Amino acid sequence: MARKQTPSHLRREFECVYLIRHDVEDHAVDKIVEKYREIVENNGGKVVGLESWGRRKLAYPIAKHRTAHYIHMEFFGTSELVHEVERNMRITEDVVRWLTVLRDPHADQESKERTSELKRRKEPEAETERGFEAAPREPAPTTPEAEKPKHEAEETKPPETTQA
Amino acid sequence: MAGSFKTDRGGGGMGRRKVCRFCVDRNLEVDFKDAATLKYYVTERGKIIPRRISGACARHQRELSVAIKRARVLALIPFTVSGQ
Repeated sequence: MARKQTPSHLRREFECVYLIRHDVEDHAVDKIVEKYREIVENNGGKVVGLESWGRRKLAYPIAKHRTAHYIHMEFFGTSELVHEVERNMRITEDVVRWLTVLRDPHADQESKERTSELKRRKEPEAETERGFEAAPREPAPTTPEAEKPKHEAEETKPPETTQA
Repeated sequence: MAGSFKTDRGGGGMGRRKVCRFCVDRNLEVDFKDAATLKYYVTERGKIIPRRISGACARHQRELSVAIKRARVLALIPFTVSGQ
């Protein structure tokens, strides 16, 4: 079943929300979720987020059901992969509704990962710029100093207000 | 809550200035999964509230209308609420 991996610059970020019938038991739900995760992984995709919203009430009945299990899956892949996932959902009777959305039409997996890495690198720098240079190394001595003036300010303020 | 942004047009007085929530709070994003936020932009009947009432800017209204339509497909928001 395992096919060759699609190059990351051709994969784009999709998110898919699908609804599983409410009468499906929890362990069967896990099986279905795992099945779709495997379909993505086996067709040159990469699952980056998998979340269950639990059983939720539907705003309107779907196939005579008033509640359903909501599953949210984020993945990188191609449009062919989306077709493959949706084809399988059409076959499975337990999946009553699904919606796959392209997150960013202009970004591929490579650029997404690069930007997230740049952000990660930038964040610690921003922290040092805000605080003192020694702040990340010795957080303990700086915090009491920072707190002290605050307390003094708080202590001085109330008498001023009472005088006024 | 839907009418909270509405200004009193007939009264002649100056109403509350309408602002786009998504422009004020940069961290807030239009998301079809966030049904609680989308509800502010939908009438009790389930119709999309026009921008002149909701105060959303053009860009965010465009995003909102797509998000509401997506949320409807997933039954997070009703297509319509029929009055009894």
